[in-house]
Amino acid sequence: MTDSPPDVDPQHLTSAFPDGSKVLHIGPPKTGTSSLQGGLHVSRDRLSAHGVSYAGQTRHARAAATYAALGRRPEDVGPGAPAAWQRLSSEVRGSSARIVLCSSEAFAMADSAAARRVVDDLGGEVQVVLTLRPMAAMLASAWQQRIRNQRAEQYDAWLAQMFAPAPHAGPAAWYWEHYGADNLVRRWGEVVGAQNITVVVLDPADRGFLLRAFDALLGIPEGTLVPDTATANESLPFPAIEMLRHFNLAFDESGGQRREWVQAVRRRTLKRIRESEEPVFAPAGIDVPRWAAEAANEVSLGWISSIDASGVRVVGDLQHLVVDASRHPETVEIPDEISTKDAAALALLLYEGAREHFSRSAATPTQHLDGDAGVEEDADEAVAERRTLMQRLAAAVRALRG
Amino acid sequence: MASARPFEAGSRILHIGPPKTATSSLQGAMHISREALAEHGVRYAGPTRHARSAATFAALGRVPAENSPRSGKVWRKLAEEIRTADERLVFASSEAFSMARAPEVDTIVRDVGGAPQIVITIRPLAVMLASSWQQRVRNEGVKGFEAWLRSLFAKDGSGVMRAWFWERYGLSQLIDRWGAAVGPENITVVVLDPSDRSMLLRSFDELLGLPADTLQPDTQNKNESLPYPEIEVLRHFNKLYTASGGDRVEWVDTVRRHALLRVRTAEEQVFQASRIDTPRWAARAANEVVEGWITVLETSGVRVLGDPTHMLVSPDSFPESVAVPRTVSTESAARLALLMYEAARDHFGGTEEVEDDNTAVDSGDDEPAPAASAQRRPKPVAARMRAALRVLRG
Repeated sequence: MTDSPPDVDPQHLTSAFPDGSKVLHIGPPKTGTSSLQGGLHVSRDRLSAHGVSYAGQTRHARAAATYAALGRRPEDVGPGAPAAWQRLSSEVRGSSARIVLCSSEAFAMADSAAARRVVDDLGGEVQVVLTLRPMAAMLASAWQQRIRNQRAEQYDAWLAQMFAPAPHAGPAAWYWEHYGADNLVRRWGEVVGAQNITVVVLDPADRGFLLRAFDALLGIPEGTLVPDTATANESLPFPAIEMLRHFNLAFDESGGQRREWVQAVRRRTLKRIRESEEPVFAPAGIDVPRWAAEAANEVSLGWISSIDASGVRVVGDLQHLVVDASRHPETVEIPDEISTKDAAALALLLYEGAREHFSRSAATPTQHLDGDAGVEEDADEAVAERRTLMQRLAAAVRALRG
Repeated sequence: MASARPFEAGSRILHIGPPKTATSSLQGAMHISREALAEHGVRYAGPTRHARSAATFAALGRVPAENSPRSGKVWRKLAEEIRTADERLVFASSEAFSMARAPEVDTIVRDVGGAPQIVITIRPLAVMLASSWQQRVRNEGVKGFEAWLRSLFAKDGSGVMRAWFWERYGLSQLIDRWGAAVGPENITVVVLDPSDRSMLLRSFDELLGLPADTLQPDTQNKNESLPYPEIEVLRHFNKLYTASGGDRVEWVDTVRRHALLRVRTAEEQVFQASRIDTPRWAARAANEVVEGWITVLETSGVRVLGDPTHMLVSPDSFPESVAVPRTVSTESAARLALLMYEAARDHFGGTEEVEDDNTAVDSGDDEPAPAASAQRRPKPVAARMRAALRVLRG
């Protein structure tokens, strides 16, 4: 670790945070957070050579951040979360690194009071960073994330709800309140001051932009942060997501318990798919229909003007938050069929999820889960062994497909 | 059709299938008509619809790994019941008996007290093919229908079809083996009439000397067949399960005994079964086989009920070729996946029901699984993986 300032000016993207800064990246979800966290995690040694510390031991201290953001522990977050937040926050507070950084999209869930507590816990003076992507580009993965969290709304119904005229109700109201960039900037600005907020607008045409922007913000040479090759592919093809949606419906109808779903399906099945070295399913995006892209652009324009007016620092081009809606298809057909091979693969992965969970639930301490997105990254050797099994299974799937 | 002459008083009667010849309908009717049968001096041997694992033990002379180790005891009890029954007639039925090879046939005949009457039911072979293949997939099979058919009808250098299927389903082979033990004059072949569903129970009313309509259909007899796309999902599931080194006994305990049983016993039919068409070439090949059977029926001296030509089909009514479904409805696939999931949950979570004889596994057209051994634990993950990779590369 060194206290000397960086000897290379990494980029003219932006200026670095002053020495001694405590930096809090709050997401929101679906804005490249896993890539950033993976990049920070695999670059720990190089970061520390430049006086930067990435707080925590894992890619993402999700449970700790979820606890901090909600001020309570949701049912599916483990009992260790409060202590984990204690450790994480005191690591940040007491850090002697030139810059210490903490990242979790879970912080975006915090209301004003929780945001204030988080900032206090971290030592009071905090630089807050938001990453932003075009709303239109986030829609499909946001819906998919809901299905991957046991929900079962139809895609088009969810989209319609998201863009129904205000006032919003239910999930849409929660989403805009917590993840809307305007609300995030306002909420956190009230706590740390707009001058201490940095908005990083991702460049849809430049995948390397995110890490480069953080190289610049952290005052380290460009290329210090390298991509995490183990970063997983979250997305399932539309037919597989539809099958999972119907599974969720049928699971619910049959009286299945939330906790069981989280532990068997989410923590096992979906985690295996996510972490498979090669995709189990041929990657395929879910399109956003044009009307929704247009509606999302309206939302993005609102964000742009409130960000412009707020006085926060902006890295990147705010116009990137608006997409060319004419490139979106007029309508998006919802698949009602899936290939028999993909169906068999998902069925076997669900079977294996239940098998692993129920044959180990007596033997291993219960593992817990976050609230809204993603899976904890706790190391678990047994799980690693199973992951290998699933990777081989993925190989079997590919062999069958080929 | 003239009434069939009933079996003589004191006869012990074994119905040996083969599978896919309405055996469940017959066994269900026998089971629910026990009281009426008893009034007329007929005993249906065994306490359940179907003493499958007992008959499987008798036919194989051992317990396959997936069946209960108690099967031998259950068979000895059943055989004793047949041997010592003092009713006018005693009747036992299991399609598992059709698996017996010559030595086991002799043992079965001896165990039940010697000189039983043997009844074989038979349907058009071409019509039995699709359900036999489905049965195969329901027993961890991985071959597609067309490939399975090709292997079935493949001939060796001397022009003989060697698939194990024929030992069990081949009418001439069954007559050969059982005829050698009991004499062809003690074999009755009931050729079912495809256009008359009531013929099955009517024939058995007559054979057992019962008043007409004594045997009543068992309304609880559920359809366990799956639609073609769902069967394809199951087949690919088996393929992946096997390739990733899945354990056979585990598969039987979870998928076969739990998930697939629930398809059958579901309150509502979750899956709307659709017929799986057999391609015309296979219908023709089946007819050729049946021509041989008809000759055997005419020359072997067995008693025949029904019209042997009913075993033939008109190949023109079969499609030239049959497209294999490549997709399945997402909803239906999800329901199937939930059955699989719950099977693993209930098995490994320890909430499954205890095994009973009705859940014993029929090996279908398959070579039966090897005998149970002490080594019933799944192999370690590393060994499973090596095995899977060999399968994949091979």
